[in-house]
Amino acid sequence: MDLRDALLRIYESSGPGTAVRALGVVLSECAGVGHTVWLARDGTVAGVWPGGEPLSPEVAAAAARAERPGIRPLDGDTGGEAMVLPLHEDDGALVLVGAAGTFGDPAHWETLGAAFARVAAQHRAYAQVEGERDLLRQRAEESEALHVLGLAANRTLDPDEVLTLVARFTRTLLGAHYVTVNTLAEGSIRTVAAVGLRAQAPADDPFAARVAAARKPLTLQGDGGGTAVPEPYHAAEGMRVGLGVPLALFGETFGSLVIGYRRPYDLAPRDTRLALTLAGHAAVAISNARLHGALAQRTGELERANEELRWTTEAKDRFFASMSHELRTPLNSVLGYHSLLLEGVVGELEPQARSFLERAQRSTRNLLHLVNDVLDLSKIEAGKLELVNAPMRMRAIVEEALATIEPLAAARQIAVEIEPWPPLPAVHTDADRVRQILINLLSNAVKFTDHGRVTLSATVAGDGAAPGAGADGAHGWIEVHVADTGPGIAAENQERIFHEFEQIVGATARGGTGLGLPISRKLARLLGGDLTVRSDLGHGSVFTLRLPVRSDEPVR
Amino acid sequence: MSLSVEAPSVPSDLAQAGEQEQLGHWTAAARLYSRAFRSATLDGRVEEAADALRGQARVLIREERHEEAEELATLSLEIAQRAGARQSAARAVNVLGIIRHGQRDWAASRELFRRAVELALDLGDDELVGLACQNAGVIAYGLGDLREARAAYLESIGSFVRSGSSENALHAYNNLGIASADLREWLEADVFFSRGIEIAERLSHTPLLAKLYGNRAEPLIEIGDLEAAEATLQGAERAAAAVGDRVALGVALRWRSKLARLRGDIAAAEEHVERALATSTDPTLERAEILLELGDLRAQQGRADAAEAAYLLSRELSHSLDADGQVRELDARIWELHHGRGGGSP
Repeated sequence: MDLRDALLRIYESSGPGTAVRALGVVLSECAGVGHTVWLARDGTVAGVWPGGEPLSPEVAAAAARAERPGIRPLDGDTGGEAMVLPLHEDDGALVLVGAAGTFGDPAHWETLGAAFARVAAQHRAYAQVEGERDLLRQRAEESEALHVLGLAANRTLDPDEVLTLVARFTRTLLGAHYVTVNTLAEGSIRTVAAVGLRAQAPADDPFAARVAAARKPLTLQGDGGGTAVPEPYHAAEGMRVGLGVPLALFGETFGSLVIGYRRPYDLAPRDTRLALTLAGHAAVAISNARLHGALAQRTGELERANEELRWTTEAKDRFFASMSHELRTPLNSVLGYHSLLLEGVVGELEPQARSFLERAQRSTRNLLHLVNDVLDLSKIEAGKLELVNAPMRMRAIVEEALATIEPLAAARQIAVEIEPWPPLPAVHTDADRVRQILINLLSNAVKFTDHGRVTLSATVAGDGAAPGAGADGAHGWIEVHVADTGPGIAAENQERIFHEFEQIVGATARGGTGLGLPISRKLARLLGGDLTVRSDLGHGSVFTLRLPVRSDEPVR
Repeated sequence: MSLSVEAPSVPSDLAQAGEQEQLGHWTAAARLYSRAFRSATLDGRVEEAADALRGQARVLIREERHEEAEELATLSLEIAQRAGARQSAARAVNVLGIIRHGQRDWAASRELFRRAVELALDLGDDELVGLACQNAGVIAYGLGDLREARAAYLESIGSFVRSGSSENALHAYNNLGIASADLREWLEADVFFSRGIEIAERLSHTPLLAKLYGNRAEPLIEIGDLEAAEATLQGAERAAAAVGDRVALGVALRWRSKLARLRGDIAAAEEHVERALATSTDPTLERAEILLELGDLRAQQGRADAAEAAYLLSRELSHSLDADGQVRELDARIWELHHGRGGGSP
């Protein structure tokens, strides 16, 4: 035998198997007689070249025990011998058999044995690298597949569709017979998606509930792997092996994912890892569905509340408008008859009767004011107050308002004065409404001033540029100030006075409905301006009516 | 130690038949399967005999000889069941499902695939689970139930990942991409085709690579990444030319036409679509789609009558192929033509 040639062929082999064949070829060529090469491991023949001839179990067992190369007789009457080359590094033994029994120098065989061992070691290392590569590839494939599931699942908000998709994918990725997705609701567990079940999903799956309660993976196994699991429902489904993992997200457990095998199956860590990942997908779907459901419910509630509020507001407005009309007509009639009586149309009244009648007339007037205010307010809030805008001079309106208030001022001995009037542009507004505001401001000022005076003044505000200037023809603001020397208004009350039906302490004694200022501010805003107050307690108040100038007429 | 001793004997007839079948050499495959059946029967290797019959049935399906295929597949199932060869029986059920599909008996086909899945799960035969799921997806897709098709393709991917059947996974990703594109889920379709391309490149699976590159053009065009669409079409043309796949080449030309149309180069669009029609001449769904593109081009040119004629041809071909989804899309195009929207896709 050419040892170098034999070694070369062995080293060129891709593994022990091909090495055995290579050696067989060498033996055939060099000996010229038929040799058979066996590869035996742990007493069992794992490979044979060229095949056909059996190796007795005794020789194979002896080969497994051998520590050094040696020659052993073959069984039977062949007269042949076997050369045993132990491959300890390989945890096995190479058995070479020469039918003619001519093996030559044993040292050559030791060299060949070592070469075999090295080839086997290399092959083992290569196989290990290949195995690791396959494992990494499988992990990558799994990861990609989970990513693909995520993409598909994210395409819908329908939780049933997502959960069924997750259940179906779980079944095939884990090679299981059936999968259920179970959610916790009000203390009980319910199957919300399932695939592969033979019967109806259970109303309550105790195993699924146990998994959810444990918040960790649990397994179910039948005895000895061949029998059903000790859970009646899953036993009826034919489960031999089961795995349950919790559906958890952000520390909250939503339920569990149950995976059933109807065949004996060895659960691997990979199965649990994948099941937990898939359960995560299901948990996200459930969480999203719950959030979406809660949001939809809340939106519905708000929409209903809004609708009710709108209806109530409309009903209130209709009621106020209707009632105010119904009240105003008879009140006007009562006032008319009072006037006739006081004028002596039906004869001179006794002093006491006159006094009573005058009180009744005052009360009736107050009531009429209240009704008018309520009517105005309801019109403004219903958006039904119609403005009649026209060019006007503010000074003229101020004088008219002053004339109206003069009797009250005279009665209370309060001086009402107009300060030097600056040149003002004409304004395009509703004169009646501006007058109404000014009368309200002046009457309040007179009523709340016990000593001192009330003054009226006007200014052109700012740089003449009102909001929207140019777009709607506005060219600035004019402001009318009504100042009094009354008790003033505390800072915390300066907004309250503009709220409907709110009168600050002490104001009720001065009369009024509490609606004048709210109505005035609403009117001012309807006219495109505003009504504000500045006041220091004990130092009087200044109410400012600001109106936009919407006229190209020159300043007077 | 894991000893991997190469098979000492020459490949069996059965293995050789499988190789010939993979290569599309139907006659050679049929002859080898027939020989394998005879020798297996003589030697009493019952499971191999059943496998050989099943192989013969598959070849007959390719030749659209469904009745003969059914006889052999049924016999294969019978033999496998009697011999207790459960895996062989499960695979025979899957083949029967394919035969029913060929006979357009959707309900029976679906039921057989469901049974095949059950049997395969009992055996832990993940590859067969994946194949049967994929087949069920093809039925759903044909019936226009794209969501069900998508779910079934996802199931098959799960099985193929488990069984390590990369080549089968490749088909599943391609199918998933097509279903997603039909659902107009462009980003997802792009991801699925790209995933298929990765696997096909690793496996050097040029025939499917040609299809995947071509199919990826549509989502890229819809996303607006026209340069990437151009690049993927180049890949499709290279791969299709390498394997002589005229259908894949036709698909690539169809998308080239659309690209040119979108860029306003009507002359180039015209040239590409004409070449596509001349290349993909078989009555396939791909040809129907080329006709649809021709209709879109005519509509863009304002030639409503010519557009409608192209749409009707495409509709007729799609209808003959039971492509319900495609028929619906064409009906919508024709409706738009009649109602003054000009038809065509953007």
